[in-house]
Amino acid sequence: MFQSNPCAVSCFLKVKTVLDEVREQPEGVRFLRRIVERKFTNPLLLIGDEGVGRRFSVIQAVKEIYCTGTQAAGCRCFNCMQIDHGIHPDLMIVGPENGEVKVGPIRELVSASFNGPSVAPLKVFVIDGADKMNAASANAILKTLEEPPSTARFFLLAESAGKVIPTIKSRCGIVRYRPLSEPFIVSVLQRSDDDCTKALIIARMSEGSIGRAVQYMGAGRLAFRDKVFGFLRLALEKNVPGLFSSIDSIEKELPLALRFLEQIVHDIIMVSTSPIIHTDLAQEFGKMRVQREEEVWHQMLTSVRELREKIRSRVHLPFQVKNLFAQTFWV
Amino acid sequence: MAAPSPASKPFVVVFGGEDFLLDRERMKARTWVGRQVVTVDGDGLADHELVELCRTGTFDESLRVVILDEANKVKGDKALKAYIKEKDENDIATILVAIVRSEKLPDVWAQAGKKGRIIERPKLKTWDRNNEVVKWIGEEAKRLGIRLAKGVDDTLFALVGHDLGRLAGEIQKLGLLVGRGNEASLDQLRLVLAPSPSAEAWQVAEAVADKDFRRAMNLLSTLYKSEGDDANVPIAYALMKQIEKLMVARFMFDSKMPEEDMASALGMHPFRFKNSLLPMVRKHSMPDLIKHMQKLASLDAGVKGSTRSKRTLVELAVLSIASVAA
Repeated sequence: MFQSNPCAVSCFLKVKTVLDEVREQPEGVRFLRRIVERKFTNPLLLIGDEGVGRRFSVIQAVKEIYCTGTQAAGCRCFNCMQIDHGIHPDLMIVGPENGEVKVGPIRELVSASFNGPSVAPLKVFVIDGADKMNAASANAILKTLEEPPSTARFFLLAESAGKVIPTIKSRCGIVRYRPLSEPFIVSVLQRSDDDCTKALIIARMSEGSIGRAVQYMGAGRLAFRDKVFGFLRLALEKNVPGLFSSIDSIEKELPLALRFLEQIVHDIIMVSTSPIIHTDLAQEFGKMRVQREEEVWHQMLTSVRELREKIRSRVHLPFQVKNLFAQTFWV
Repeated sequence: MAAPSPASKPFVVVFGGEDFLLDRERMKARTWVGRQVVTVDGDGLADHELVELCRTGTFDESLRVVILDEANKVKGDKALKAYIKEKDENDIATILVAIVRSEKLPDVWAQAGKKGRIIERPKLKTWDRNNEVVKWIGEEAKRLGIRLAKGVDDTLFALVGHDLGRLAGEIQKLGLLVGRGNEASLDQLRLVLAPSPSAEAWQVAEAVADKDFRRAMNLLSTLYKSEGDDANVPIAYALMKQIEKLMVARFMFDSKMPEEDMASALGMHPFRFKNSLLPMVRKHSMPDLIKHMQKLASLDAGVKGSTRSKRTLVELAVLSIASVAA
């Protein structure tokens, strides 16, 4: 029995499997394990912020299904290696192009799902960006999700359930991925950098996303955050040319700048009452807070949030950001 | 290029940003007397395919000219470089005419030019003090064998614009009317010219900033006639840029900055700043500009959203900013 089903071996011996590598997402792991054990065949919609482990956990589950080796982390069997290199013939991942999941790749995915698996027991299809599917691509996959072929499993990843069209949502089992805990992210970051304060700030800036934290750690994002904080100083000084040229200089990174701006304004409001994200700037936040009434900061926070929502509608972001400062501080 | 001169070389490289003049060079090469003409497009053409084409002889061993349009889209890898390097300067059995549609000459074609001829056709300037298009009108008339009376070139430019294709057509019509060797007067120009008003988004934005709402609305309707609803986004963008510029200028104006410093900060010529932007700045106060900014932010979201009456949104924004009351 153990020879034909390696999963049974691992369960019997209580050894750690590849799926156990997924941390802090018990609900996700529970659902994925049921899929691995073939107790659940419906498509799964994994909802969670980018970098909280949705894609990683799906890949680990696929490895557990396909693995012909040790079933443990770091297995070097042929299937696991092919998955690691993104070339497994029975695993197909579709992602967004220019911010949208187009109908072409979805049609390919649908037609591939009706062919049986090549080497593995099941074919797995991952749509990374179910909330970014346009109407045509969503309609193209609807029927297949309703009655999936017996040898195919579908995983749809989305950042927000609200942006997934209801007909897709109703055909999937929904699993929510929570933001990762701060100590966990700090522990991961400290593997590459001993600076405890920096790791803590970046962990908080990442808002529970390990992917984002790792990206911030290596890309000089603290300096970028300081630049964004500089926008507020320029706006308070009413330095129109300085602010406008600073905003234009980071035109391509404005979505990230808005994320940081939201955190900074939130910190300015909360600086004296509760723990803040950017602890290293606490003193400056305190000084800045008293320069304007509390309503102004609240209005700023609301406006930043609204603007972040508008990013997807392709508004002219540099102008919108300039307008945000003008309406908040210069009216 | 109409006939091979004794100084013919194996490569002729024509480059620049003036498409009309590049096309004219291409047409000249196509009528090369005594040579078989092969025309290819550089878009999607692999270097080795081009080299093979240049190396392949004709059945009857006649002379050839290979015209490569959009040569800037050819990668310029080893095969082409080697062909250019190996080509004997005296071997003119096949002449390669490369039409590079870019202001900058890629290295590979610069190398080819060293073994042949380089013809530069840069974009003609339309500056107030150095209008190369007006000079070109005179040259074109001379080429067609007519003389232009004083002011005809300037009027032609003012009425037709900088489109060399259209200008060449109008000069040709003028030539037919007055006959070779004669002088064309302003009245004759008016007889042949079919005026077609044109407008651009930045002109609308300037009229709005100048609070000249009649002109702004006229330009707007002209623009919509030619571009249709595709003009919505460019107009919104031009308005946003204009208001930003006015805000920066107004800030400096309120800070009592010297005019020359303001002009240099905005990257403008002081004369142009004083005569065109400064009067506009005086017509808008900072609080007004901030209000306009809010309107334009909504307009930006509106023209990119699912609103049906996008044109109305643009017209309302133009009217509200350009009206004297605003």
